[in-house]
Amino acid sequence: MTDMPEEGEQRRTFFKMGMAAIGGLIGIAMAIPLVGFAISPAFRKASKKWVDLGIADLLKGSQYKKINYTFSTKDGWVETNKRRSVYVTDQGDGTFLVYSRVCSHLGCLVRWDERKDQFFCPCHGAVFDSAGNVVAGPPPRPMEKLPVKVEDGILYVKES
Amino acid sequence: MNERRNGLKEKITNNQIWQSMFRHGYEKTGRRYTLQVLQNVWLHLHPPRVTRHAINFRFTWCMGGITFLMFLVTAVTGVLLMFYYRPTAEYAFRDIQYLEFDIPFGMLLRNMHRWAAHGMVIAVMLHMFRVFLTGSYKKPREFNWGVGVILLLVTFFLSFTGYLLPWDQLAFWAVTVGTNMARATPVLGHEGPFAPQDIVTQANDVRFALLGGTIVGPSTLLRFYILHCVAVPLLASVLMALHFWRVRKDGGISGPL
Repeated sequence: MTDMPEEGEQRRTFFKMGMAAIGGLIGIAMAIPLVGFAISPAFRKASKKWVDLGIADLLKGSQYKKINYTFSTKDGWVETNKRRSVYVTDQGDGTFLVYSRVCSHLGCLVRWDERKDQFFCPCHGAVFDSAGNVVAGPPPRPMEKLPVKVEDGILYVKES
Repeated sequence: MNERRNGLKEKITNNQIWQSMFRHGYEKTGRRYTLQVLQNVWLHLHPPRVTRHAINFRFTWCMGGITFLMFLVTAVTGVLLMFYYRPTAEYAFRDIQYLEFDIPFGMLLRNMHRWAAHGMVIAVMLHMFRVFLTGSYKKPREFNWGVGVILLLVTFFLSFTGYLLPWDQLAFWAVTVGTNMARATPVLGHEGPFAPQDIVTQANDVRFALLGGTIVGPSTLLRFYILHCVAVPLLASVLMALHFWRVRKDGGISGPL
């Protein structure tokens, strides 16, 4: 009779391990789709594409021109239309400069003031000069310059 | 007459259905009072005995209770608002306009929700201030102070997620600015300190998880709606239950130990 408790103990251990194994298996089977769904966009390669801004000749001029455009991209889990706003100018030699209007501080849209020759951000009073460098306010770095190209007379910017 | 009334009372109360709901008689004894409070799911939130100092208004300012009241008001009005509001880019703003100008009492309902939310933030900060002034964060209440700090952050997050839902210019830019701060999160934000370059990027950092994308868009609206209406209130409820339970276990409200 003395070995009886040991047998019971063995059975209990066996059931404990069996329960843990089955529970773990069900847990993993459920976790794969859940975690996969939640983090899958993090592993997607960033797709960059060229977006058409218009006929290059019409955008020439020393003053900044504001252009709003939309482009479709897969952002996160879903395909969406992103709206962007940029300032375009040409440097006189036919090459273009395109600045994103998104302030490098916290993402508000900056406004070009022709009389002062500066960009202003309404949210926290940032000021950038005509080359996009920080003049005043909190931004940590200059305005973002987007990659550009002209093909068949059309101006394109690279969007991600 | 009296006999008939007693007979009727006997009929109503002396059966299994009544007695399954009201388990204690009505004799005027301390034991019955205590049992009635302790063994009732609604009443057990109150202590069976309240000490004199616990109802001293000048000591507590009632701020914890007022915070909870504000939470209840936002919960009730919030559920009613959910009947009219659709969290999609097409409808969100229009539904708010509809609520404000067309639905009977819609403006009142929405403003009750809004002002109770503001009131909750103010009350919770005053509550924290009071607890600090009275030294109620000290042992053995230090754990509950910690829970309270988390509840303060949860309250702010409720407030912040609700801010986006009207989907107007104020909401959009406020949340754009607010979530851009998350870029600077240490390690997990792509512009933050100690963030590994090229591994933590704009498309997989903590801000991305918050927005459901790289910019404030329709997925952000839906995400904030779910956080605002389901996830964060649930978390707040669990933490509040813990908070209140802990108040009782740590010697009751505002008592010297």
